[in-house]
Amino acid sequence: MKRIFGEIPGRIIGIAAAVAVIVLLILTVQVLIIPVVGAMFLAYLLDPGVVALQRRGMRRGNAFLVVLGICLTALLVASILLPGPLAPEAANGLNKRVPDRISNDLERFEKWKDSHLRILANVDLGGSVKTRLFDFAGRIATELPGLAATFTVDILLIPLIAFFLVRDGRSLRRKMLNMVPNTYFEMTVSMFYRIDQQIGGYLRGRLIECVLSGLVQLALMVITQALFRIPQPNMVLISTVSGILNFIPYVGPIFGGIFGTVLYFGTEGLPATSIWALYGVIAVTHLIDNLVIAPAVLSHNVDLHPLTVVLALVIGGEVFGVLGLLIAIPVAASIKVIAQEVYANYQVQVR
Amino acid sequence: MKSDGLWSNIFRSKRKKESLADILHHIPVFSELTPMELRVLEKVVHMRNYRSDETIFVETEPGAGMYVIQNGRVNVLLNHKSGSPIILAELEKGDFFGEMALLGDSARSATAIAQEPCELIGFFHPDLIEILNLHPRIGAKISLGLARTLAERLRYTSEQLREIWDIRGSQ
Repeated sequence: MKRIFGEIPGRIIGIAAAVAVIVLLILTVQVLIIPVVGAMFLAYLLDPGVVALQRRGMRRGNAFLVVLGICLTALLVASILLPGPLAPEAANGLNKRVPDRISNDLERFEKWKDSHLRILANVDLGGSVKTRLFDFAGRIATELPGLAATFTVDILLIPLIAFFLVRDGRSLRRKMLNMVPNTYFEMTVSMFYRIDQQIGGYLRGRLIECVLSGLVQLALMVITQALFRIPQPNMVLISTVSGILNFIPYVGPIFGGIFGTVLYFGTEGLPATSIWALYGVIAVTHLIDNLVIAPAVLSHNVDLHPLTVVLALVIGGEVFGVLGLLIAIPVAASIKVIAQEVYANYQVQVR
Repeated sequence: MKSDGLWSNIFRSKRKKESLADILHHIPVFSELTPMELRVLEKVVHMRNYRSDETIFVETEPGAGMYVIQNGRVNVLLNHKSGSPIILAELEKGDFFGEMALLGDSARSATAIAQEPCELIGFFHPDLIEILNLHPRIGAKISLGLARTLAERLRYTSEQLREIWDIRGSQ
């Protein structure tokens, strides 16, 4: 057994080198990150359907195309049947009313500040916020065509890459395993399996959670409007976006609230109670999500400490922006599985 | 002679595949599988080559699955307090070992070392789960074969234990 003691640093160095190469590769080919990560998400999400069709004798690639076709058709039908997500007048409102309302509110804030906070009387807070906001909006408007083009390319690339990932993923994984030296082989087999289980379970669990929390929010908005007579415009759009943003742990609901606020600013004649009611709905939805939905659908798929989750989100957001927020948890879970496997093997060798 | 070479070249790959299925068919865990089902299994298993004296797995290490010896010889050893390991079994072509790890996360109960250059067929827990997911009928047959093999091993261990007790009792 003595020989194996000598292998421990080698193993750790080997794994660290592999991780470093992968990270370097990801950083080098940043353009491909969004389509590849998106394709992986799509492949994982559709996998149960693909497996169900495969059991009936269909080839894996064909099964993926059928499941993708069904999903796209369902989305198309839903978008036709559901009320228009954003009425043209609301879109107009976003263009005209949001800047006006922000200007008015900032002016009101300036007057209040001058009368109540005399120490800040000479500081033009409102003007500075306004300039920054309009600069930001201007930058978005300038970059929008480029972003739209990239988004279109990504949208086309994602299903294409996902198709090849689903069709050839298993043989690719076998080829990768074949290259692994004997010393690491069993550990790598277990690691691949556990990462696959954790990420697959997490993504599917989160998808169900997002759909359910979106539906809960929609129901609560309907109740608020029907029972309390507080108007809740664009409720389908706000619930859908909030449901999607809920994919980002902890900060997702806040982004949902910001989106709803911006949309409500753009709607003419809407009372302030509507916005407060929306915040209430979001808070209650978040509560129901945390207490009922998440424990039921996520179980122990990704058992990460809340502090780890927050750190992963901060690092992910800092390095890759919004995409980083989306992939932070699966990546953190993968790193945890790798660390656990390496540590378990190390413990055995030391014993 | 030349024609023999030609024929052997034409059928080389086919023969290789058949021999893999043949070997697997003689393993009790897979003995219930039809030739067609063995073809499915062939696509899932991993071929591994080991040098002489190379460690295949170590006692107490987390195990991932079982191995079938396609070529070569393997020694299964058990660590002993005295420091010198006890040879539990000397296995050769067509034998299999490590099947307990197929059931999931369990530590290896012995160490396996290649005695000479070996070609092993590896079948692991994730492979079994994949087969159970995609081909439930094949998965059920393998699970039944595995249960039968483990029951057989348990029966054998019980008999050995009884013999030891009988010897101790007679002393």
